[in-house]
Amino acid sequence: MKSLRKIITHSILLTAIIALLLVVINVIFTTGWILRNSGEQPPKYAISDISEGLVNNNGVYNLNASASSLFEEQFSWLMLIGKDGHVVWSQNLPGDIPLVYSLADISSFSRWYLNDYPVSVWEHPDGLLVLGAPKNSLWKYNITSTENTISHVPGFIAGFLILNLISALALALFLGLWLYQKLKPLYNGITALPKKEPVALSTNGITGEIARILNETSVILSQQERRLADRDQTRTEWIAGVSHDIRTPLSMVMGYASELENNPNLPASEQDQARIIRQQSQRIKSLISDLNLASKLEYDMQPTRLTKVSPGGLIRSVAVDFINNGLDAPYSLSIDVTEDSNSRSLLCDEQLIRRALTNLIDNSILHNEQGCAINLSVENSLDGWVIKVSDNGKGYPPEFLENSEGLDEPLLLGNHGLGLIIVRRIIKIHDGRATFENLATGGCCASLIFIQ
Amino acid sequence: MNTIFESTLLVVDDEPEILIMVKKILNLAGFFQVLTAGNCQQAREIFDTEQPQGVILDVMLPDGDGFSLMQELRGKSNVPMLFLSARDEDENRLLGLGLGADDYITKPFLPRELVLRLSGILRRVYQPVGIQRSHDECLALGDVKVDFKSGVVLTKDGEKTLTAKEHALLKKLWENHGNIVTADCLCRSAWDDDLYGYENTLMVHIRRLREKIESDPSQPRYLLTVRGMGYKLARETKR
Repeated sequence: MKSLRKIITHSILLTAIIALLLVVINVIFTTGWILRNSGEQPPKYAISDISEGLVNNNGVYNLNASASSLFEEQFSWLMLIGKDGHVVWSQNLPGDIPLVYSLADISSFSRWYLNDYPVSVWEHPDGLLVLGAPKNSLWKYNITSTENTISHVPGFIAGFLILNLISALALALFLGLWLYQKLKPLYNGITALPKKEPVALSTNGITGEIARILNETSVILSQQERRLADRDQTRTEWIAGVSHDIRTPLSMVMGYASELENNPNLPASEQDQARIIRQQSQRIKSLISDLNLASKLEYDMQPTRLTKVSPGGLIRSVAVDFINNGLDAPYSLSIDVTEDSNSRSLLCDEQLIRRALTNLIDNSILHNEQGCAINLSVENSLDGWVIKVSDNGKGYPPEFLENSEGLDEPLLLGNHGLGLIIVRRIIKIHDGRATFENLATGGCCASLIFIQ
Repeated sequence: MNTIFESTLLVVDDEPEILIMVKKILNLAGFFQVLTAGNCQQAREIFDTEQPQGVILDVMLPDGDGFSLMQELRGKSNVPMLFLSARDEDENRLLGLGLGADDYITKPFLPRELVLRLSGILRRVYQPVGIQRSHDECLALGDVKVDFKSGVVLTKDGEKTLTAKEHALLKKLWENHGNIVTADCLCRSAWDDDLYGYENTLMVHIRRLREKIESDPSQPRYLLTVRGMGYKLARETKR
């Protein structure tokens, strides 16, 4: 849910930034436009210049050159209304413009239009100068406002901007929440998929199509999961069945070979052959047991019983079992433990870890026919407890070390095969990792790292 | 019954070849009265008529399972029963032992292992009690004798009394004499607790024990330290 919140928060912020940006762009544009237009000379100054340029020379009116050019730039006609209301002088005056005006007429057109001509007026020593522009060329408006209102204009503008900002944020928040509500079920659905939980989302609304696809994906995944589980179970059961069926005939081979081995009536060479048959049968027995356990670990069919154990006590007990069961020269077994490893501080399935350590010690014995010194140690590293089984023998073959990092290693790695694969599987179901290395001083070291 | 070899044994397995082989193994080991049954029905009949002193059972039988059969037979008699099965899962072993089986051996097995385990069980159950007790309660370490019943050590210099913890430690070592006993295991026997926190206490108790049973405690001959692992009562001691 955290990531969805993050997405929504980002979306809200982004929307708010966009809205703010729009306001800023608008303000800049408007200001720019106003400034650009204000660069032109306002009409009222032009009119006063024209008025000043209209000179009365003993009853003859004359518009000087500069005033004439200003007039032509902006207006199409002009007239001077005398103090008695009669037009005393004009230029380009259209025919539909009256020549006599009352005070009411003047008051009316001075603000608006004269016969639909937009007009401007200015006082002249001899009366009132009226300048007319062509029809439909100007839009005239009048603003009347109290002083109080005008003095509040900057405040109004600031308030307007703040209101815009708040509205933008509120809208963004609203949209974000709305989106959050719509996306939340989808998010829950997607997060349920890797957890292999069934997904049944409502297929209504704008996210309906995505919800429908998610529902279908969930069904397909659970079907696949079931098929895989069935297949894994069948495989494990098949291996368990074969192992079981081999045990009875192997019992006969082992039993009779053992009897022949101890039969004093047989010559020594035949007793020796019987011994080899018995030993190899025992090897097959341990291989079957390893194969069975490996398949159960591989397909999660091995039940685990997690308890807190003392890692020091555990390796002591494994080592002592080996020694008490007759581990003899040319092999030796020693252990190094720290005092804190005597406390119950390692959560694990004791039987499985015992099996892993036994496999590692067996491996050292099996691959060093000339004998070796095996050492078991336990230490508390930054990751957690690390149990090491090392020896001073001939070390792992290079091809094993090349493969040991891979996750999809072949089931059998030469003679080092199943025993070490079981070790890796066991440590994997403890959420730890196993590393294998050859030591610079000779021999090899397997480390079981329990990540805490 | 004077010796365990006089006991009548019943072997139940659905494989006739296994029955023949187990019978031969037991005969060779000295058990001459061995009866066999191929299914539950036969086993019930023979059990009722012959009343064997020990039963070896397979788990998978054609007309039932060995676990139910064992429970049924247990209802009639308390004779030792052990499983000999091709099923090696922990659950099966625990189920068998949990139901009261005396042992659980998985196939394939070594004949000697079967004979040793069976003999051990029969000896515990049928050996005359008096003989066992005298075995259990006296330990000789050269000139020194330990009487576990009274908890005293008899030396040529006189009697020394064992404390309760020393008694528990020495008894545990004696039960496993010749083998290493881990320090953890000794702690559980004496203090019913883990080793953690008892490391020094255990060392002190072992030193005191040596002072009582060894002629030269600084150069122990019987109670030996195995570095990093635990202690061992040397095999040369005699019961």
